[in-house]
Amino acid sequence: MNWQKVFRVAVYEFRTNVVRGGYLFATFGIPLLGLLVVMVLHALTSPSITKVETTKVSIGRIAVYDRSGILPRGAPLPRPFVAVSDFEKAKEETVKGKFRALVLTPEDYTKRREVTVYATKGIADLDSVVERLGYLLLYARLSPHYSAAEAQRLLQPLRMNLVLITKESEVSSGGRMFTGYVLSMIFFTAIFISAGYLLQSVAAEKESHLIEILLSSLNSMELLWGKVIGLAGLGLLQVVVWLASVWYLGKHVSIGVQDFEIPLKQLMHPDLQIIIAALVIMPLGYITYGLLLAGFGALGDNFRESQQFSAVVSFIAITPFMFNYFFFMHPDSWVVRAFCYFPLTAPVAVFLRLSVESVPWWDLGISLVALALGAAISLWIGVRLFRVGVLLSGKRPSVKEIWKILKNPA
Amino acid sequence: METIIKVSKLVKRYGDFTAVDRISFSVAKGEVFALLGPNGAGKTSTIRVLMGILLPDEGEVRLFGKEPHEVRNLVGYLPEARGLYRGARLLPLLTYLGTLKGMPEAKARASALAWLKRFGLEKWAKRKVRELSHGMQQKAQLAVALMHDPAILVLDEPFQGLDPVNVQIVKDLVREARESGKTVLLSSHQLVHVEALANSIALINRGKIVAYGTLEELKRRYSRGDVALKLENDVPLPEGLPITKAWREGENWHLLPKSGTSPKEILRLLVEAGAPVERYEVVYPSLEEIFLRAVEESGESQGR
Repeated sequence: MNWQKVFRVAVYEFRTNVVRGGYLFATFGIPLLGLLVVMVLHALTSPSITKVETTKVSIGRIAVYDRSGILPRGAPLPRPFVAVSDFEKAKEETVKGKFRALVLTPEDYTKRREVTVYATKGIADLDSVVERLGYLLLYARLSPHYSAAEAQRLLQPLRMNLVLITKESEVSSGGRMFTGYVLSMIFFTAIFISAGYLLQSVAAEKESHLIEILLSSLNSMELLWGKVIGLAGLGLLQVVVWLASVWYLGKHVSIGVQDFEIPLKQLMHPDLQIIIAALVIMPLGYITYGLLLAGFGALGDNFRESQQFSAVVSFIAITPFMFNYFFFMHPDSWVVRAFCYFPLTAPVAVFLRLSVESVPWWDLGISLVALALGAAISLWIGVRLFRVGVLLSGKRPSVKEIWKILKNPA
Repeated sequence: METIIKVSKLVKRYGDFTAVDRISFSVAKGEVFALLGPNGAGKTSTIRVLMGILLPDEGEVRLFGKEPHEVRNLVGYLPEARGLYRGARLLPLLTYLGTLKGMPEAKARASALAWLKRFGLEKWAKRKVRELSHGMQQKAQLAVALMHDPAILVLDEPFQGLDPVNVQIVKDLVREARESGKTVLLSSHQLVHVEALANSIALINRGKIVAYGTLEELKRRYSRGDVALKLENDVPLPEGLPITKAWREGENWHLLPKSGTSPKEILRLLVEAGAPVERYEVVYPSLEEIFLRAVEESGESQGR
């Protein structure tokens, strides 16, 4: 492998694609739009906080079981919060509907700054609780137990786990939901935009017949890796810009827009499992999808044909989104696990699952190993299809012919 | 003379189909070698193996005594199926392609500019490829093949789709390359263009070489001794000449002597018969005729 030539291709692919209108919009335009939306929300919500408080009281009482001792003892809590001393009883009463939710501040809250909210319903209630928790914290901050600075530091629940409880069972979920969901969208979008450019690049070379000139200068592997690396840079830049935007929003928006405050802060301090998953899934997911798209894309005679070949891969990849119900309500079910262990759906499925709950490390390990195996298989398939596909012209290979290529690509 | 390109018993198969069937040839330094044959004869497959794009199934290909992929930077290539990124700007694209041939970026840019200037395209250097006419794009692709000053120039069907002006440009470039000591291998099914350029020729049909040698050798080998002559005052052709066929081509007669009869013998008999010969010449076969005869001789024409 001539790495100098690989580098040349990578630089050319990066330079060419980074100035595309579509890429610029996706990378910089979307965060700007996000900022715009937040500003509008800020403008709409700030003046009516008091009104919101009075109208939302009707959702019911929220029990607080404080193991951490951060809330003042003995004094009644502001509405809608009610201090409780028996956790199990409070949970039962929450199931029965006496409380809308039960908030548990654990003993190590000061270290982990994580609370758990038990509720009988999902996201909608979480939003309400999050909002009210803000008032509770405001109350605690005003209490004489703490200095203003200390209260400020202690009373920011950066992570919030949601546990959905029913009479039969409880399903752990989380305030991490926002973090996991946003990250899954960011990584998935970046991976697919980069992989899509890889497909376009291969298709353009075939369509324009430039491929033969390129292959007279470097071999197909050098060409393919140059593209993969160059366009990975594109994806990485996009992720960095988006994460930086989210970080900026989280830092500056928390002052005014109450509904975004806690979720955005959670996003700035993601769970360790989410961080590890992101570090592994981003490159492996890109290799898995990118090389398959490049390989199948090379079989087409033009971009449209290449897209048809790759549509199957893309469709499989987004399938987990269609099974949101299982991810949010039954995150440990075999359906969810199957998606997490299958390499083509794992990148999306793992993030969706992590957005709902912490999973056992061995479970996460299986998903990541499966994804690594999938990336290796994609590499094998993609490279073989690309090597032969780029020189095919005038006819679309049949499934039988594709199988032959895979067996003997020389 | 130093051998630059050597192909020995090359075989290339696609599944059950044998595209190139044990062909061998060599090209010396400074030579223009033409690989001629109809579409589908195996020329492009041979060239793709030469360029290291395809691997041979059997046999050996050596450029400068090395594997093709080891000397990629010494070869300039104009493929049969050609094109450039339509959305790319001309100069950056050519510079990029030059760097892939091992040139430093600044040198590649300077060379690309020089070739664009030579082809009258310097004003289009910053334009997108899609804005260029077909002829301009053809010239730009020639620039890609030449800009790194390769020692070997491989041109696959270089005249295909060209107007007469661009055909002449390609011919001039080939002559220039030959004069500067470069080795040129070109393939074509348009035999008429090649005749004036090639030193040696391999005629290929159905993956096999059916004739191989210098142009002179081939002309002599496949000559039937045809003669063309003109008689003064349109006098009729004397009777009793040892010919199998005679026909008029305008004012001229075209004679096909019987086997074993030389053109000199025909001339002697004409003079003896008192025919007023105004012009007399031996007609050598064109490349097209050589090709047809070679195919016929090799028995490959059956079933075509």
